[in-house]
Amino acid sequence: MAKILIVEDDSILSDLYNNTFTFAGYTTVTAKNGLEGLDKARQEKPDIIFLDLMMPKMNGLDLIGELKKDETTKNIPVIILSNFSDEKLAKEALAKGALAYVIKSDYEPKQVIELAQKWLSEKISS
Amino acid sequence: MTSLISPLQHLFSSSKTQQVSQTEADKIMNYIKDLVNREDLIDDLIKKYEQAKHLPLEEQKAAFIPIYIGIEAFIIRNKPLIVKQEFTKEALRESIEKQFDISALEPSFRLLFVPEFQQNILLFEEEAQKLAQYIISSIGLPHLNSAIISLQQAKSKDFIKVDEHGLQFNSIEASLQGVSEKDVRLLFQELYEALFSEIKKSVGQNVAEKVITDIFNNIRGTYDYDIISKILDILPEGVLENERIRLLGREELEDKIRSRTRELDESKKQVEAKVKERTAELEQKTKELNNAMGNLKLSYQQIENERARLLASINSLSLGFVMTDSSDNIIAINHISYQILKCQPDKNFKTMQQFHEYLQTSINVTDYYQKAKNEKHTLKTADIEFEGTFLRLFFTPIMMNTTCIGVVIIIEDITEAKLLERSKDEFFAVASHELRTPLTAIRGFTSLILDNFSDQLKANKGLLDMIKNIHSSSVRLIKIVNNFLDASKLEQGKFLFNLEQFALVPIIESVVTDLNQLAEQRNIYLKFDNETEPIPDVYADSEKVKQIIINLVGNAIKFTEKGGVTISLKKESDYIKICVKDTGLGVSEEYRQLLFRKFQQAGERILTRDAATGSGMGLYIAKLLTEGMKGTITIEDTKLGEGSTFSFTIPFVKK
Repeated sequence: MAKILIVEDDSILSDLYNNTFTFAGYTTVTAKNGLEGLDKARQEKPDIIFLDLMMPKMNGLDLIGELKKDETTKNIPVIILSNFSDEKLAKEALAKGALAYVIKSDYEPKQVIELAQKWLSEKISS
Repeated sequence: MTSLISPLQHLFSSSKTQQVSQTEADKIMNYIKDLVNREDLIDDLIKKYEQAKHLPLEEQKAAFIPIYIGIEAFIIRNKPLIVKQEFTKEALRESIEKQFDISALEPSFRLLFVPEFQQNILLFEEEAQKLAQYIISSIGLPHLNSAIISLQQAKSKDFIKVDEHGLQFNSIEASLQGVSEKDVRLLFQELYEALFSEIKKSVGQNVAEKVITDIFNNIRGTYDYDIISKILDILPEGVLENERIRLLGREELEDKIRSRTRELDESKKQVEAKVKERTAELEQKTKELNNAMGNLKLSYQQIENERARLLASINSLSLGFVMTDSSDNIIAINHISYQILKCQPDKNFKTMQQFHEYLQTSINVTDYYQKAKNEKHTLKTADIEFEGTFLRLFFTPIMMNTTCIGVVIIIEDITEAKLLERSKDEFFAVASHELRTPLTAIRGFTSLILDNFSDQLKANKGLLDMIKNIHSSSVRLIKIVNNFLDASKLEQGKFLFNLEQFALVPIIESVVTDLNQLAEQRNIYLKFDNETEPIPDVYADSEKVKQIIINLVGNAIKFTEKGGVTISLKKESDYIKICVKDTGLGVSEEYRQLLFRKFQQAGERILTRDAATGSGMGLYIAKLLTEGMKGTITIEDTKLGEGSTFSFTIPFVKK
């Protein structure tokens, strides 16, 4: 099964997504902030990264930038999970290379898994 | 000539009659003198009177008479102001007769104040006595006797006696009882004639006439013409003819003067009447003028009051207030204007030009100003950033009928409102984020439990239901948060529409597919009546259009128990109208007004609203979304118990 990196500073939500993907059979790696996320991405080479935007030390947007700069991480699909309904922010994230911008509260765990499946299959097919 | 006069003067002074009261004559003189206010006009008479007072007593008496006559004539001729009181000669003399003891006066003075009959007798006696005394002194007493003896009339001999002093008439007044005036005159005429003849016989015609003339002249110098003419009547014929003629002429003249005086009086009366009339008119006009002035004063006062009220109102405003006249001069500006515009009152804007120059960097005030004047309606500027504040200006033309006589400019400092808006904006963004995080956890974990622990939950249905309830509540709360966030963004115009060209029919069909299950659950139909003309593509945000349709159809299903819901399309000018018709409860008139308002379900009945039906934001957001896409939303028709038709429009793409 694919390995998923969850970068989320809120421990409960981190727990939620960790459980969501674990129940679905995925291997998970978690990071509590952008910096840690960058380290984990480099070390663990996840198949997909679910990324929060507002985080200490390094925020989600900056992390995308760093990931895209690094040859070893630039091709990992990044999905933004945020509770900010901010079109500008969403556009910026997509422009930096995120594949989707999802409002956390609007998505059931099932839908998050569907999202992961969708982008993982696209990654494989490409 | 002197030889004749001096004895006469002597005769006058020695005339023997009753003792005269100096006091009474003086009193009379003072009385009439006091009747004259303007003594300066009779100063010659006053002077004579002052001199006469210093004469020997005998001469004084004679001197008073012509002065009296002079003053009397002056009084009669003049009106009040110049004299104290208006008198005729008769009335004046009567007044004196009543006030003073005239019996104390010497006959020559007294005769002025007695009835005419007595006056004649007194006068004639006086004058006859003078002739008699001349005869005694110049010719001799016997001649006087012979003259009296020669008298023919019977009565004469009884009443006229002769002694060494002259004639005695002592009892004549009493003796002449029942005798007419004419008889008296005849009696004295005969006496004069006799005396004259006697003198003539002794000294000749010429001297006799001279004597008569001297006596007459003395009378003429003393009395007025009424009395002088009486004497002329009884003088012997042929003597003083010229005087008689002159007097006659004078009488005619006096007649003429009298008639002219009457005429003059008449015209004077007319003139006076006219003057009175004009004076009355003038008084009326003056009154009117005073009234008008009073009214004017009152109006002025009212205007002043209005002005004070207006100024107080303007100065009490928390808005900047600037008023101009038709020549673009600033005629009123309140203190707060300077405060808002961040300058000192000594800036003292006088014209629109100065005002424009001050604000120029941020806004072209003159453009708005002229436009408001020309178009004759209020103009509002966009929000202007001015030295760290936000301003909004309103230009309202002051109309007098159809003429613009100036403009009122209201300056509103909207900085506070702007800041509030901004903080509200930020608040919603942050609050929604903070609310969503725990809600995501509740929703997510309950979902995970329901999905992954179904076996355990089957054993405990109560627990399963509780978890389901927690899950659905979290979903509902998330929707509410989303609605609030959407409404807030839409209100602030910060909602981003993804405008594109698309076909409506597939959207509606998908809504029907999505909601059909809900309709079936309630045993009502949901259909799309797609039998109309071909529908062109519309230009809007397809997601949002779908959201609006879902909202309307969802509401329709929710409030319909029998029948169903029909969706239809209609082309209306530049718009496609989407209609959602139901056969449900209908909306009462009072709720109809509130339908598209925020929290419309609450209204005044916050405790009785149907909490199960939603946040009360649905139609409000649908309205904001429709308007955001340049359309309108409305309730077309509704009848309680029969159903409602809601509709909204969106612009279509013209080919």
